[in-house]
Amino acid sequence: MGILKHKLMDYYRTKSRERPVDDIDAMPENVSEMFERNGKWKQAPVDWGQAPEKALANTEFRAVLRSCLAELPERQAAVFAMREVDGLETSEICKELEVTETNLWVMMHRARAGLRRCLEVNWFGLRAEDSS
Amino acid sequence: MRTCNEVSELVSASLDRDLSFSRRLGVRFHLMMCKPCALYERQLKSLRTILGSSADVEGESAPQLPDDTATRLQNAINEELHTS
Repeated sequence: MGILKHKLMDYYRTKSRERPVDDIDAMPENVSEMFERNGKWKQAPVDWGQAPEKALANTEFRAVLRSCLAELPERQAAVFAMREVDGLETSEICKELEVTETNLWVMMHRARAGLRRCLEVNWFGLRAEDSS
Repeated sequence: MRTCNEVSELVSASLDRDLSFSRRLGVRFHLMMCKPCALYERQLKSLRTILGSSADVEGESAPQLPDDTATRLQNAINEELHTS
C-alpha cells in the first residue's frame, strides 16, 4: 500500500517537472468563480451528511474521486497529492517542486476548492437531493 | 467581519500552516455565524481524511494472499486430490 502511494507521487513529480514552475496564473480561476463580488457564496456548499469519509468504501465513489483528481490542473494535482495523499510537509513539497510557500498555499486552496466542488456536483450533492 | 471568500482561503491555509491568533479568531467568529463556510471547513477536513486513506483502500481492491497462505492452499488442494 505504501508502494502504491509512492508510485502516485513519482507519477505526479514527473508530470509536474514537465511543466514550467510559475504557471499559477494560467490555472482556471475556480476559486474566484465561487463567490459574488461582495465575497459571498455564489453557490453555497451543500451538506455532505454525517460521515462523508464512508463513501470511500464505495467503488463508484472511488471512480468519481479519481476522475475529479484527474480534472485538476497537473501541478495542482501534484501538490495536492503530495500534501494530502502522501502527507508531506509543505516545506518538503516546496523543495521538491521548486515552488514558493505562497504559491503552494494558493495551489492547495485551488485544488481543495476544485476537488470539493467536483465531488459535490458528482457525488455528495446528488445524494443530498435523493435523501431530501 | 471577513467575507466568505477570505474565510475559504484562510480555512484552507489553516490546514497547511499556523494562522495568527487574530486570523484564527476572525475565522472562528465567521464560522459560528455562517453555515455555508462551516460546511466548507468540515468538507475540506473530510477531503483530507478521504485522500489520506484513499491509497490504502485502492490497494485493497486487488488483494494479494501472503505467500505462505498460497502454499498452504496449494498443499491442501494436492492432499485433497491424492486422497480422493
